[in-house]
Amino acid sequence: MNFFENNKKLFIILATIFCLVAALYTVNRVKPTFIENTFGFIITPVQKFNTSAVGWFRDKADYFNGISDLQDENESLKQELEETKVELNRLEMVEQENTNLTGLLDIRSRYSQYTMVAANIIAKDTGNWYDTFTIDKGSKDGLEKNMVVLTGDGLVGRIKQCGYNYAMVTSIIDDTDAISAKSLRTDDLGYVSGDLANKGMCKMEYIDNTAEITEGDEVITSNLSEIFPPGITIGYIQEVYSDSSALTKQATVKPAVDFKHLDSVMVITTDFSHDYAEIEETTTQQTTE
Amino acid sequence: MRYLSYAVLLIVGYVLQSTLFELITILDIKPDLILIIIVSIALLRGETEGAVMGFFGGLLMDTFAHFIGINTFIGMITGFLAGLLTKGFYKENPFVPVTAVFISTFFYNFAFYVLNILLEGYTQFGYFFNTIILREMVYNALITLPVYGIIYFINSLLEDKEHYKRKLF
Repeated sequence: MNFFENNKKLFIILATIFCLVAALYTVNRVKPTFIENTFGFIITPVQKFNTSAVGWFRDKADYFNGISDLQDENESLKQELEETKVELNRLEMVEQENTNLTGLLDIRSRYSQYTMVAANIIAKDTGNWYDTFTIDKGSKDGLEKNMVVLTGDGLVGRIKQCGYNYAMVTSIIDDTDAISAKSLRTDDLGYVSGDLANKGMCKMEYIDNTAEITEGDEVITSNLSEIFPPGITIGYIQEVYSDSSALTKQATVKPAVDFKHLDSVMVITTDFSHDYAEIEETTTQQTTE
Repeated sequence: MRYLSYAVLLIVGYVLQSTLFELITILDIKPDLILIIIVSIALLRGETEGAVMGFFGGLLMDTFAHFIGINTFIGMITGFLAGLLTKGFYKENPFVPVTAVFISTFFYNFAFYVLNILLEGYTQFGYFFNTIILREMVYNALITLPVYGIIYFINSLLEDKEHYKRKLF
Protein backbone atom coordinates (compact mmCIF):
# COMPACT_ATOMS: atom_id res chain seq x y z
CA MET A 1 0.00 0.00 0.00
CA ASN A 2 3.04 2.31 0.30
CA PHE A 3 3.01 2.90 -3.39
CA PHE A 4 -0.63 4.01 -3.21
CA GLU A 5 0.02 5.99 -0.05
CA ASN A 6 2.75 8.10 -1.64
CA ASN A 7 0.84 8.94 -4.82
CA LYS A 8 -2.60 9.29 -3.27
CA LYS A 9 -3.70 12.42 -5.15
CA LEU A 10 -2.42 11.18 -8.46
CA PHE A 11 -4.31 7.91 -8.08
CA ILE A 12 -7.57 9.61 -7.15
CA ILE A 13 -7.33 11.91 -10.17
CA LEU A 14 -6.44 9.00 -12.45
CA ALA A 15 -9.32 6.90 -11.08
CA THR A 16 -11.78 9.77 -11.54
CA ILE A 17 -10.67 10.21 -15.14
CA PHE A 18 -11.01 6.46 -15.63
CA CYS A 19 -14.60 6.58 -14.36
CA LEU A 20 -15.51 9.44 -16.67
CA VAL A 21 -13.93 7.84 -19.72
CA ALA A 22 -15.48 4.46 -18.90
CA ALA A 23 -18.92 6.04 -18.51
CA LEU A 24 -18.64 7.89 -21.81
CA TYR A 25 -17.20 4.88 -23.57
CA THR A 26 -19.74 2.34 -22.34
CA VAL A 27 -22.97 4.36 -22.25
CA ASN A 28 -23.93 3.32 -25.77
CA ARG A 29 -21.95 0.12 -26.13
CA VAL A 30 -23.29 -2.46 -28.54
CA LYS A 31 -21.37 -5.46 -27.26
CA PRO A 32 -20.27 -6.09 -23.68
CA THR A 33 -16.68 -5.09 -23.11
CA PHE A 34 -14.07 -7.82 -22.95
CA ILE A 35 -13.75 -7.53 -19.17
CA GLU A 36 -17.49 -7.71 -18.64
CA ASN A 37 -17.80 -10.71 -20.90
CA THR A 38 -15.00 -12.55 -19.15
CA PHE A 39 -16.33 -11.67 -15.72
CA GLY A 40 -19.85 -12.67 -16.76
CA PHE A 41 -18.55 -15.94 -18.15
CA ILE A 42 -16.94 -16.81 -14.84
CA ILE A 43 -19.53 -15.47 -12.41
CA THR A 44 -22.68 -16.73 -14.17
CA PRO A 45 -22.26 -20.45 -13.30
CA VAL A 46 -21.66 -19.48 -9.67
CA GLN A 47 -24.81 -17.36 -9.57
CA LYS A 48 -26.74 -20.09 -11.33
CA PHE A 49 -25.60 -22.68 -8.82
CA ASN A 50 -26.42 -20.40 -5.91
CA THR A 51 -29.94 -19.64 -7.15
CA SER A 52 -30.75 -23.28 -7.86
CA ALA A 53 -29.32 -24.41 -4.50
CA VAL A 54 -31.57 -21.95 -2.67
CA GLY A 55 -34.51 -23.22 -4.74
CA TRP A 56 -33.72 -26.84 -3.83
CA PHE A 57 -33.75 -26.10 -0.10
CA ARG A 58 -37.00 -24.20 -0.42
CA ASP A 59 -38.62 -27.11 -2.28
CA LYS A 60 -37.53 -29.59 0.41
CA ALA A 61 -38.87 -27.38 3.20
CA ASP A 62 -42.20 -27.06 1.39
CA TYR A 63 -42.37 -30.83 0.92
CA PHE A 64 -42.19 -31.58 4.65
CA ASN A 65 -44.46 -28.74 5.65
CA GLY A 66 -47.18 -29.80 3.22
CA ILE A 67 -48.02 -33.43 4.21
CA SER A 68 -50.62 -32.62 6.85
CA ASP A 69 -52.55 -30.37 4.52
CA LEU A 70 -52.61 -32.87 1.64
CA GLN A 71 -55.67 -34.83 2.79
CA ASP A 72 -57.89 -31.78 3.05
CA GLU A 73 -56.55 -30.56 -0.20
CA ASN A 74 -57.38 -33.87 -1.89
CA GLU A 75 -61.04 -33.61 -0.85
CA SER A 76 -61.41 -30.09 -2.07
CA LEU A 77 -59.56 -30.87 -5.28
CA LYS A 78 -61.98 -33.71 -6.12
CA GLN A 79 -64.85 -31.33 -5.77
CA GLU A 80 -63.04 -28.76 -7.80
CA LEU A 81 -62.41 -31.30 -10.55
CA GLU A 82 -66.13 -31.83 -11.02
CA GLU A 83 -66.70 -28.14 -11.28
CA THR A 84 -63.80 -27.78 -13.65
CA LYS A 85 -65.17 -30.39 -16.03
CA VAL A 86 -68.32 -28.34 -16.45
CA GLU A 87 -66.22 -25.22 -16.84
CA LEU A 88 -64.01 -26.93 -19.41
CA ASN A 89 -66.94 -27.70 -21.68
CA ARG A 90 -67.97 -24.09 -21.55
CA LEU A 91 -64.42 -22.96 -22.29
CA GLU A 92 -64.10 -25.23 -25.28
CA MET A 93 -67.02 -23.43 -26.79
CA VAL A 94 -65.40 -20.11 -26.00
CA GLU A 95 -62.11 -21.24 -27.50
CA GLN A 96 -63.82 -22.19 -30.71
CA GLU A 97 -65.24 -18.74 -30.88
CA ASN A 98 -61.89 -17.25 -29.96
CA THR A 99 -59.97 -18.97 -32.76
CA ASN A 100 -62.51 -17.63 -35.20
CA LEU A 101 -62.07 -14.13 -33.89
CA THR A 102 -58.25 -14.14 -33.70
CA GLY A 103 -58.23 -15.13 -37.36
CA LEU A 104 -59.73 -11.71 -37.90
CA LEU A 105 -57.20 -9.96 -35.69
CA ASP A 106 -54.18 -10.64 -37.86
CA ILE A 107 -51.62 -9.08 -35.52
CA ARG A 108 -52.67 -11.11 -32.53
CA SER A 109 -52.31 -14.41 -34.35
CA ARG A 110 -48.75 -13.58 -35.36
CA TYR A 111 -47.78 -13.51 -31.73
CA SER A 112 -47.87 -17.30 -31.46
CA GLN A 113 -45.67 -17.79 -34.50
CA TYR A 114 -42.50 -16.42 -32.96
CA THR A 115 -39.86 -18.90 -31.95
CA MET A 116 -38.94 -18.50 -28.33
CA VAL A 117 -36.19 -19.58 -25.97
CA ALA A 118 -36.95 -20.16 -22.31
CA ALA A 119 -34.52 -18.75 -19.76
CA ASN A 120 -34.19 -18.52 -16.00
CA ILE A 121 -33.40 -15.40 -14.07
CA ILE A 122 -30.20 -16.01 -12.15
CA ALA A 123 -29.28 -12.64 -10.72
CA LYS A 124 -30.72 -9.21 -10.13
CA ASP A 125 -29.19 -5.76 -10.11
CA THR A 126 -27.16 -5.19 -6.95
CA GLY A 127 -28.62 -1.76 -6.24
CA ASN A 128 -32.09 -0.70 -5.22
CA TRP A 129 -32.58 1.96 -7.88
CA TYR A 130 -32.92 0.14 -11.16
CA ASP A 131 -34.59 -3.09 -12.25
CA THR A 132 -32.26 -5.07 -14.42
CA PHE A 133 -31.58 -8.77 -14.20
CA THR A 134 -29.40 -11.45 -15.74
CA ILE A 135 -30.70 -14.57 -17.48
CA ASP A 136 -28.83 -17.82 -18.04
CA LYS A 137 -28.94 -17.85 -21.85
CA GLY A 138 -26.60 -15.88 -24.07
CA SER A 139 -25.22 -15.63 -27.57
CA LYS A 140 -24.45 -19.37 -27.56
CA ASP A 141 -28.23 -19.98 -27.47
CA GLY A 142 -28.82 -17.58 -30.32
CA LEU A 143 -29.73 -14.50 -28.32
CA GLU A 144 -28.76 -11.02 -29.44
CA LYS A 145 -28.97 -7.49 -28.20
CA ASN A 146 -32.47 -5.93 -28.36
CA MET A 147 -34.33 -9.23 -28.42
CA VAL A 148 -37.65 -9.05 -26.63
CA VAL A 149 -38.22 -10.77 -23.29
CA LEU A 150 -41.71 -11.73 -22.15
CA THR A 151 -43.72 -14.15 -20.06
CA GLY A 152 -47.15 -15.66 -20.59
CA ASP A 153 -48.66 -12.60 -18.92
CA GLY A 154 -47.01 -9.95 -21.00
CA LEU A 155 -43.95 -7.92 -21.84
CA VAL A 156 -40.95 -7.98 -19.51
CA GLY A 157 -38.32 -5.95 -21.37
CA ARG A 158 -35.50 -6.32 -23.84
CA ILE A 159 -31.95 -7.58 -23.83
CA LYS A 160 -29.59 -4.73 -23.20
CA GLN A 161 -26.33 -6.63 -23.26
CA CYS A 162 -25.65 -10.14 -24.49
CA GLY A 163 -22.63 -12.12 -23.35
CA TYR A 164 -21.62 -15.65 -24.25
CA ASN A 165 -23.62 -17.48 -21.58
CA TYR A 166 -25.59 -14.66 -20.00
CA ALA A 167 -27.74 -11.75 -21.09
CA MET A 168 -28.66 -8.63 -19.18
CA VAL A 169 -32.30 -7.62 -19.45
CA THR A 170 -33.73 -4.19 -18.70
CA SER A 171 -37.34 -4.43 -17.61
CA ILE A 172 -40.12 -2.09 -18.66
CA ILE A 173 -40.36 -0.69 -15.12
CA ASP A 174 -36.82 0.58 -15.52
CA ASP A 175 -36.97 4.10 -16.91
CA THR A 176 -34.18 3.77 -19.46
CA ASP A 177 -36.47 2.42 -22.16
CA ALA A 178 -39.48 3.89 -23.93
CA ILE A 179 -41.84 1.59 -25.81
CA SER A 180 -44.30 2.67 -28.45
CA ALA A 181 -47.67 1.41 -27.22
CA LYS A 182 -51.37 1.65 -27.92
CA SER A 183 -54.53 0.86 -26.07
CA LEU A 184 -56.19 -2.27 -27.39
CA ARG A 185 -59.75 -0.96 -27.15
CA THR A 186 -59.38 2.49 -28.64
CA ASP A 187 -56.11 2.22 -30.64
CA ASP A 188 -54.71 5.38 -29.05
CA LEU A 189 -50.95 5.63 -29.30
CA GLY A 190 -48.50 6.63 -26.60
CA TYR A 191 -45.09 5.88 -25.14
CA VAL A 192 -44.70 3.60 -22.15
CA SER A 193 -41.66 3.91 -19.93
CA GLY A 194 -40.87 2.96 -16.36
CA ASP A 195 -41.51 5.44 -13.59
CA LEU A 196 -38.87 5.58 -10.87
CA ALA A 197 -40.96 7.99 -8.82
CA ASN A 198 -43.75 5.40 -8.67
CA LYS A 199 -41.92 2.15 -8.18
CA GLY A 200 -43.22 -0.90 -10.01
CA MET A 201 -45.47 1.12 -12.31
CA CYS A 202 -45.07 2.46 -15.82
CA LYS A 203 -46.24 5.73 -17.21
CA MET A 204 -47.77 6.20 -20.64
CA GLU A 205 -47.08 9.61 -22.09
CA TYR A 206 -48.04 11.65 -25.16
CA ILE A 207 -51.53 10.24 -25.44
CA ASP A 208 -53.75 12.38 -27.63
CA ASN A 209 -55.85 14.80 -25.62
CA THR A 210 -59.07 13.63 -27.25
CA ALA A 211 -58.32 9.96 -26.65
CA GLU A 212 -61.11 8.08 -24.89
CA ILE A 213 -58.73 6.01 -22.86
CA THR A 214 -60.02 4.89 -19.46
CA GLU A 215 -59.12 2.90 -16.40
CA GLY A 216 -58.73 -0.84 -17.02
CA ASP A 217 -57.91 -0.56 -20.72
CA GLU A 218 -55.33 -3.05 -21.93
CA VAL A 219 -52.13 -1.49 -23.28
CA ILE A 220 -50.24 -3.45 -25.96
CA THR A 221 -47.11 -2.80 -28.01
CA SER A 222 -47.91 -0.93 -31.19
CA ASN A 223 -46.77 -1.83 -34.67
CA LEU A 224 -44.54 1.24 -34.91
CA SER A 225 -41.58 -0.23 -33.07
CA GLU A 226 -38.61 -1.89 -34.73
CA ILE A 227 -37.66 -3.72 -31.57
CA PHE A 228 -40.92 -4.81 -30.01
CA PRO A 229 -43.28 -6.97 -32.05
CA PRO A 230 -46.87 -5.66 -32.11
CA GLY A 231 -49.62 -7.05 -29.91
CA ILE A 232 -47.78 -7.98 -26.72
CA THR A 233 -49.64 -7.04 -23.56
CA ILE A 234 -47.79 -4.43 -21.53
CA GLY A 235 -50.29 -3.81 -18.76
CA TYR A 236 -53.54 -2.19 -17.76
CA ILE A 237 -54.28 1.47 -17.30
CA GLN A 238 -54.79 2.45 -13.70
CA GLU A 239 -55.23 6.18 -13.82
CA VAL A 240 -55.52 8.79 -16.55
CA TYR A 241 -54.68 12.44 -16.01
CA SER A 242 -53.90 15.51 -18.04
CA ASP A 243 -50.30 16.44 -18.55
CA SER A 244 -49.07 19.73 -17.01
CA SER A 245 -49.19 21.41 -20.39
CA ALA A 246 -52.78 20.12 -20.86
CA LEU A 247 -51.97 19.28 -24.47
CA THR A 248 -51.56 15.57 -24.01
CA LYS A 249 -52.76 12.99 -21.53
CA GLN A 250 -50.68 10.78 -19.29
CA ALA A 251 -51.64 7.49 -17.72
CA THR A 252 -50.29 5.22 -15.03
CA VAL A 253 -49.96 1.68 -16.34
CA LYS A 254 -49.83 -1.35 -14.06
CA PRO A 255 -47.60 -3.96 -15.75
CA ALA A 256 -49.29 -7.28 -16.53
CA VAL A 257 -46.21 -9.16 -15.36
CA ASP A 258 -45.61 -9.60 -11.64
CA PHE A 259 -42.02 -8.37 -11.44
CA LYS A 260 -41.63 -9.29 -7.79
CA HIS A 261 -42.14 -13.00 -8.36
CA LEU A 262 -40.48 -13.42 -11.72
CA ASP A 263 -38.09 -16.32 -12.15
CA SER A 264 -38.41 -17.63 -15.69
CA VAL A 265 -38.95 -15.73 -18.92
CA MET A 266 -39.17 -16.32 -22.67
CA VAL A 267 -37.04 -14.58 -25.30
CA ILE A 268 -38.31 -14.09 -28.85
CA THR A 269 -35.54 -15.10 -31.23
CA THR A 270 -37.39 -14.56 -34.50
CA ASP A 271 -35.91 -11.80 -36.59
CA PHE A 272 -38.78 -9.43 -36.38
CA SER A 273 -37.65 -6.58 -38.66
CA HIS A 274 -38.77 -8.60 -41.67
CA ASP A 275 -42.27 -8.91 -40.22
CA TYR A 276 -42.29 -5.24 -39.53
CA ALA A 277 -41.69 -4.39 -43.18
CA GLU A 278 -44.47 -6.76 -44.17
CA ILE A 279 -46.95 -5.12 -41.82
CA GLU A 280 -45.99 -1.71 -43.08
CA GLU A 281 -46.63 -2.88 -46.62
CA THR A 282 -50.08 -4.23 -45.81
CA THR A 283 -51.08 -1.14 -43.87
CA THR A 284 -49.99 1.18 -46.67
CA GLN A 285 -51.93 -0.99 -49.11
CA GLN A 286 -54.99 -0.73 -46.94
CA THR A 287 -54.74 3.03 -46.67
CA THR A 288 -54.27 3.50 -50.41
CA GLU A 289 -57.24 1.29 -51.11
CA MET B 1 -2.48 -12.74 0.54
CA ARG B 2 -4.27 -9.62 1.69
CA TYR B 3 -5.29 -8.64 -1.82
CA LEU B 4 -6.44 -12.16 -2.58
CA SER B 5 -8.70 -12.18 0.47
CA TYR B 6 -10.06 -8.74 -0.49
CA ALA B 7 -10.91 -10.02 -3.96
CA VAL B 8 -12.60 -13.12 -2.53
CA LEU B 9 -14.56 -10.94 -0.08
CA LEU B 10 -15.83 -8.68 -2.84
CA ILE B 11 -16.76 -11.51 -5.19
CA VAL B 12 -18.57 -13.45 -2.47
CA GLY B 13 -20.35 -10.22 -1.53
CA TYR B 14 -21.34 -9.60 -5.14
CA VAL B 15 -22.68 -13.11 -5.70
CA LEU B 16 -24.67 -13.08 -2.46
CA GLN B 17 -26.09 -9.67 -3.18
CA SER B 18 -27.22 -10.48 -6.70
CA THR B 19 -28.80 -13.85 -5.87
CA LEU B 20 -29.58 -14.64 -2.24
CA PHE B 21 -30.39 -11.13 -1.06
CA GLU B 22 -33.34 -11.00 -3.46
CA LEU B 23 -35.07 -13.37 -1.00
CA ILE B 24 -34.53 -11.26 2.11
CA THR B 25 -35.86 -7.95 0.87
CA ILE B 26 -37.83 -5.92 3.39
CA LEU B 27 -40.23 -3.36 1.91
CA ASP B 28 -38.66 -4.03 -1.52
CA ILE B 29 -35.22 -3.00 -0.32
CA LYS B 30 -32.19 -5.25 -0.13
CA PRO B 31 -29.09 -4.40 1.88
CA ASP B 32 -25.90 -3.35 0.13
CA LEU B 33 -23.34 -5.91 1.25
CA ILE B 34 -20.55 -4.56 -0.95
CA LEU B 35 -20.90 -1.11 0.59
CA ILE B 36 -20.67 -2.58 4.08
CA ILE B 37 -17.50 -4.45 3.08
CA ILE B 38 -16.01 -1.27 1.63
CA VAL B 39 -16.77 0.77 4.76
CA SER B 40 -15.51 -1.99 7.08
CA ILE B 41 -12.18 -2.20 5.27
CA ALA B 42 -11.93 1.61 5.24
CA LEU B 43 -12.51 1.67 9.02
CA LEU B 44 -9.97 -1.02 9.77
CA ARG B 45 -7.25 -0.09 7.29
CA GLY B 46 -7.56 3.61 6.56
CA GLU B 47 -8.61 5.76 3.65
CA THR B 48 -6.23 4.49 0.98
CA GLU B 49 -7.30 0.88 1.16
CA GLY B 50 -10.88 2.07 1.58
CA ALA B 51 -10.66 3.99 -1.70
CA VAL B 52 -9.03 1.07 -3.55
CA MET B 53 -11.67 -1.29 -2.14
CA GLY B 54 -14.43 1.16 -3.08
CA PHE B 55 -13.06 1.44 -6.60
CA PHE B 56 -13.06 -2.30 -7.24
CA GLY B 57 -16.30 -2.94 -5.35
CA GLY B 58 -18.02 -0.26 -7.40
CA LEU B 59 -16.54 -1.64 -10.60
CA LEU B 60 -18.02 -5.01 -9.72
CA MET B 61 -21.47 -3.47 -9.16
CA ASP B 62 -21.13 -1.66 -12.49
CA THR B 63 -20.51 -4.78 -14.56
CA PHE B 64 -24.17 -5.55 -15.20
CA ALA B 65 -25.42 -1.97 -14.84
CA HIS B 66 -26.40 0.53 -17.50
CA PHE B 67 -22.92 1.97 -17.90
CA ILE B 68 -19.58 1.63 -16.18
CA GLY B 69 -18.19 4.31 -13.92
CA ILE B 70 -20.89 5.64 -11.66
CA ASN B 71 -20.70 3.08 -8.83
CA THR B 72 -16.94 2.93 -9.29
CA PHE B 73 -16.60 6.66 -8.70
CA ILE B 74 -19.03 6.92 -5.78
CA GLY B 75 -17.65 3.75 -4.19
CA MET B 76 -14.13 5.12 -4.29
CA ILE B 77 -15.14 8.47 -2.75
CA THR B 78 -17.24 6.75 -0.07
CA GLY B 79 -14.41 4.39 0.88
CA PHE B 80 -11.94 7.25 0.99
CA LEU B 81 -14.12 9.50 3.16
CA ALA B 82 -15.14 6.63 5.46
CA GLY B 83 -11.47 5.93 6.14
CA LEU B 84 -10.47 9.58 6.47
CA LEU B 85 -13.24 10.70 8.80
CA THR B 86 -12.95 7.77 11.23
CA LYS B 87 -9.23 8.15 11.89
CA GLY B 88 -8.50 7.66 15.59
CA PHE B 89 -11.85 6.11 16.42
CA TYR B 90 -11.86 2.91 18.47
CA LYS B 91 -12.53 0.25 15.86
CA GLU B 92 -13.54 -2.25 18.57
CA ASN B 93 -16.56 -0.20 19.60
CA PRO B 94 -19.61 -1.64 17.78
CA PHE B 95 -21.19 1.79 17.64
CA VAL B 96 -18.51 3.06 15.23
CA PRO B 97 -19.08 0.68 12.25
CA VAL B 98 -22.86 0.88 12.60
CA THR B 99 -22.87 4.67 12.50
CA ALA B 100 -20.28 4.76 9.73
CA VAL B 101 -22.33 2.40 7.56
CA PHE B 102 -25.51 4.34 8.32
CA ILE B 103 -23.97 7.64 7.20
CA SER B 104 -22.05 6.11 4.28
CA THR B 105 -25.23 4.55 2.91
CA PHE B 106 -26.86 7.95 2.94
CA PHE B 107 -23.85 9.54 1.26
CA TYR B 108 -23.59 6.77 -1.34
CA ASN B 109 -27.25 6.84 -2.31
CA PHE B 110 -27.44 10.62 -2.21
CA ALA B 111 -24.50 10.86 -4.58
CA PHE B 112 -26.08 8.20 -6.80
CA TYR B 113 -29.32 10.17 -6.81
CA VAL B 114 -27.64 13.46 -7.69
CA LEU B 115 -25.35 12.03 -10.37
CA ASN B 116 -27.86 9.70 -11.95
CA ILE B 117 -31.53 9.97 -11.03
CA LEU B 118 -31.74 13.76 -10.69
CA LEU B 119 -30.16 14.20 -14.11
CA GLU B 120 -32.92 12.04 -15.60
CA GLY B 121 -35.41 14.64 -14.39
CA TYR B 122 -36.72 13.17 -11.15
CA THR B 123 -36.76 16.01 -8.66
CA GLN B 124 -38.82 14.32 -5.93
CA PHE B 125 -35.95 13.71 -3.51
CA GLY B 126 -38.36 13.29 -0.57
CA TYR B 127 -40.06 10.34 -2.26
CA PHE B 128 -36.77 8.58 -3.00
CA PHE B 129 -35.46 9.32 0.48
CA ASN B 130 -38.50 7.73 2.09
CA THR B 131 -38.87 4.73 -0.20
CA ILE B 132 -35.26 3.80 -0.93
CA ILE B 133 -32.53 5.66 0.93
CA LEU B 134 -33.86 5.68 4.50
CA ARG B 135 -34.92 2.03 4.37
CA GLU B 136 -31.57 0.96 2.98
CA MET B 137 -29.75 3.00 5.65
CA VAL B 138 -31.62 1.21 8.44
CA TYR B 139 -31.33 -2.22 6.83
CA ASN B 140 -27.62 -1.81 6.15
CA ALA B 141 -27.00 -0.63 9.71
CA LEU B 142 -28.85 -3.68 11.04
CA ILE B 143 -26.71 -6.23 9.20
CA THR B 144 -23.44 -4.34 9.70
CA LEU B 145 -22.33 -6.00 12.92
CA PRO B 146 -22.12 -9.64 11.73
CA VAL B 147 -20.39 -8.57 8.49
CA TYR B 148 -18.02 -6.25 10.34
CA GLY B 149 -17.30 -9.05 12.81
CA ILE B 150 -16.26 -11.42 10.02
CA ILE B 151 -14.09 -8.79 8.35
CA TYR B 152 -12.54 -7.79 11.68
CA PHE B 153 -11.67 -11.43 12.28
CA ILE B 154 -10.16 -11.89 8.82
CA ASN B 155 -8.23 -8.65 9.20
CA SER B 156 -6.77 -9.63 12.57
CA LEU B 157 -5.69 -12.99 11.13
CA LEU B 158 -3.99 -11.22 8.25
CA GLU B 159 -2.32 -8.70 10.53
CA ASP B 160 -1.02 -11.44 12.78
CA LYS B 161 0.41 -13.13 9.76
CA GLU B 162 2.06 -9.98 8.48
CA HIS B 163 3.36 -9.03 11.97
CA TYR B 164 1.88 -5.69 11.27
CA LYS B 165 1.40 -3.24 14.11
CA ARG B 166 -1.43 -0.83 13.58
CA LYS B 167 -0.62 2.77 14.25
CA LEU B 168 -2.85 3.64 17.19
CA PHE B 169 -2.84 7.39 16.98
